[in-house]
Amino acid sequence: MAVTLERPAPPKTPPAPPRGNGGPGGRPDRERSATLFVWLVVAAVGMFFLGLSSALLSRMGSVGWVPAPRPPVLWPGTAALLGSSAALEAARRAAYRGLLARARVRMAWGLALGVGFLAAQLIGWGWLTSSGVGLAANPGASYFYVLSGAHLVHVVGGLAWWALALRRTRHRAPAVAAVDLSNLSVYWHFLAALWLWLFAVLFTR
Amino acid sequence: MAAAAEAHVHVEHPHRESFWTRYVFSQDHKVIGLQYLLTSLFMALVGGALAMVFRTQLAWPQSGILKADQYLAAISMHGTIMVFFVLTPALLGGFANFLVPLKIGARDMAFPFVNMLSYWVFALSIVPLVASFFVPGGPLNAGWTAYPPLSALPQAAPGSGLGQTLWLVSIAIFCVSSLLGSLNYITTILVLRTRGMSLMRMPLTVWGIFVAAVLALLTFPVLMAAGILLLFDRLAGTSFFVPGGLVVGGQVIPHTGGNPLLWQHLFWFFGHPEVYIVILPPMGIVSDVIANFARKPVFGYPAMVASMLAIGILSFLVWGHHMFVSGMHPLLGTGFALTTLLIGVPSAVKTFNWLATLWRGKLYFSTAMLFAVGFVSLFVAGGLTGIHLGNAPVDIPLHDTYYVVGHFHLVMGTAAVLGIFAGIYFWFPKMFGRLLDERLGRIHFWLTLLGVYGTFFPMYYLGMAGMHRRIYDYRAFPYLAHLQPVQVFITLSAFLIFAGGLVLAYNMLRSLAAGRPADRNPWRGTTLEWSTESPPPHHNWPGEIPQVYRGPYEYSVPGAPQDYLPQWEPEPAGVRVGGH
Repeated sequence: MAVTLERPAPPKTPPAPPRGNGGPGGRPDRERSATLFVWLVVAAVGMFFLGLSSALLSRMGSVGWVPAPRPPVLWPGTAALLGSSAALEAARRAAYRGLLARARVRMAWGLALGVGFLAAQLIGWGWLTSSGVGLAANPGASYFYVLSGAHLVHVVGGLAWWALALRRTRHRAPAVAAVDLSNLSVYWHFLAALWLWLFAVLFTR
Repeated sequence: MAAAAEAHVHVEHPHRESFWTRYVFSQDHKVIGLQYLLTSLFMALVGGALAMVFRTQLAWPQSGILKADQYLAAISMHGTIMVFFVLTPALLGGFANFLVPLKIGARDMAFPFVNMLSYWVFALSIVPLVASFFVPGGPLNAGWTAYPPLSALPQAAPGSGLGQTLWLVSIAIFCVSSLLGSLNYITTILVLRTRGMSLMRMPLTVWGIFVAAVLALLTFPVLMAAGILLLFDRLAGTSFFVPGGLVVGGQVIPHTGGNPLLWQHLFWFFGHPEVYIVILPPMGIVSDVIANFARKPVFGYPAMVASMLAIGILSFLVWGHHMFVSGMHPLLGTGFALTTLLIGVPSAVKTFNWLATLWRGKLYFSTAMLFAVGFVSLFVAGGLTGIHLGNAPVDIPLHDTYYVVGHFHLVMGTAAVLGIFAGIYFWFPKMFGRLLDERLGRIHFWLTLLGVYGTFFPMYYLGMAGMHRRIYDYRAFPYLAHLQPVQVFITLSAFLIFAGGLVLAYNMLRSLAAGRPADRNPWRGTTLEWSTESPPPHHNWPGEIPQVYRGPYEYSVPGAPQDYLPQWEPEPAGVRVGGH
C-alpha cells in the first residue's frame, strides 16, 4: 500500500452564505425584534419577581412569619386568569389559521376574563382590608399586598396591550395579527404562570 | 434587508426635522448617545466636585467645612452619582447608543422611540436626585448602598428623611431607563447586524456592551424590587428590612420582624454585576483602541469574547463577598470566596491578552492609547487586591476600610473612567467631525493618571493602618490621627484628577469650535463606523449599508496594500487574511 506524507485535499464544499443578518429568507427584522423584545421583557419582569419571591421565601423561613388570610375571591379570580390565557391561546391559533373574526371573539372573551381577574384582586384587597388586615398588619399581608400589587401593575399593562391588539386586528392582515397575538400571549401566559407561583407561595402555611 | 430597503426609501425622501426632533426629542441613536454622554460628563463634574469638598474635609478635619451629616450626604451622593449617573449612562447609554448601530452596520437601534424614552426617563431620574439637595435634612446619609435600617427609618439620621425617599424614587426611575436601554441594545445586536457581521466578527466594544446589557437587564429589576420594598418600609410602615426592638432617638420603633441583611443580599445581587456592567464596555473600548494603536490584531479574540461571557456569568455568583462580615455561614463564605477567585481567571486572561496585543506592536501613544494603557495598569493595580479581598479571612479585618475604597476605585471606578476617556479621544472625531487636541489630551492624561495613583494607592496603606471608610473626623481615634499627612497627600492628588477633568472639558469645547477637521477614518481603523462620514449622516450610511468580509482587527496583514484591512472592503487579490 502506498504511503503518502501529504495531507489529502479537503473535500470541495460550496462557499458558505454570508453570516450575520440580512441573508435571504427568514422573518423580517421588525418581527424578530418585537418577539425578542417581549422575551427580554419577560426575563426582566421574571428577575423582578425572583427578587421579591426570594425575599418572601427567606422571610417565610424565619421566626414570626404569619401568612395572610386568603380572600375567597382569589379562587374565581385565578380561574378567570387561567380562562383568559386559554382564550388567548385559542385566539392565537385562530389567527394563525387566518380566521380573524373568530380570533377577535376569543380575544374579547379573554380580555373580559382578564378584567375579571383584575376585579377579583381588587375585591380581595378590599375584603382583606375590611377584615382589619392592612398593609403593615403582619408579614404575610405585607408580602401579599406588595407582590399581588406588583403583579397587578403588570396585568394592567398586559390588558392595555390586549385592548390595543384587539383594536388593531380589525385593520391587520391575519399574518401580522397572529404575530402580535403570539407576542402578547408570551407575556400573558407568563403573567398567569407567575400568579400561580405567587398564589401558591403566599398562602402556604 | 428590510432595514436596507427602508433606508433606501429614507435616502430618497429625507424627512424634515425641527430643532426639537433633531436635538431634544431625537430618535437618532447618535444624538441620543451624545445626550447620554454629555449628561454623564456633566454629572461627573457634580460628583467630582462633591469629592473635592469631602476630600478637603478629610485632609483638614479641623477646618470643619462640612458638618458630619453633610459629609455623609456628600460621600453618599458622590457614590450614587458616579455609579448610577456617570459610569452606567456614559457607557451603557452614551457609547452603547453611539457605537452599536455604527459598529454592527445598522441604520439605528431596533426601537428608536424606546431609545429616546430611555434617555428622557434617565433625565427624569436626575430630578429627584438633585432635588434631594434642597429638602430638609439634605440628601441620603446611608452611603450609595443605602443599607437599612439607616435608610429605612426617617428619624435615623438627617438624610434619612425626604432625601432618602427621593433617592429611592430616583433609583427606581433609573432602573426603568436602564431596562429600556438594555432591551434595545440586546435586540439591536442580535437582530440588526449587517450582512457578514457574524457574532464572532463583532468588535469587542460591541461584545462588552452586549454582555453588560444582559447583566443590566437581569439585575436592575432586582434592585428595583429591593427599592420598592424599602419604600414601603419607609412610607407604609411595613417591616421588610427593619427588625423589631430598635430604639431610635430614645423611642422603640413600631417595626418588627424584618431583616436588614435581606437588603444587602438583594442590593449586592444587583451591585456586583453592576461593577461588571461598568467595566465590560471599557474592556471592549480598550481592546479596540489598543489594537488600533499597536497596529496588531487583538491577541486571542475568541478568548477575549469567552472571558467576557465567563465574567458575565460568574458575576451573578459572587455577591456574597460584600457580606463576609454579616454573620454568613463559613461554608457559604467559602463558596463566595471560590467564585470570586474564579472570576479573577477570565479577568487575568483579558489582561494578558492586552499585554500580548501590545507586545512587539508598532505602538503609537496617542491620547486614546495612553488612556487605554492606563486602564490596563489601573485594572491590574486595583484587580490584584480584589484577590486579597475575595478571601474571607483577609476581607474580614479589611472590610469597610480604605483598603476597599482604594481597591474598587482603581479597578472599577477610575479604570472605567479611563476607558471612557480613551473612548472619547478615539471617537470624538466620529462624533463631531473634529479631532481633540492631543497636547491638551496628554496634559489631561498625566494629571489623571498621577492623580489617580496618588489618590487611591495610598488608600491601601490607610486601610491596612485601620482607617475605616465613611469616617467624618478620624482624629477622634488616636491610632488614626497621625495619618493626617497621608490624607492631605490624597486630597492634593484628587485635586489633580479634577483639574484633569476641567482640561478635558476645555479641550472638548475648544475642539468643537476649532479642532482639526477629521476625515472619515483618522486612525486608520478597521471597524464599520470608520467607513462612513464624520459625523455620520442620519441613518449612518448615505447609500447601502456596507457588507462585512472579515473580523474586526485585521491590522498589519502580510501582503496587504496598506497596514490594515477594513471589515467592509472585499478581500484584495493575493492576500490571505487569518482568523474569523
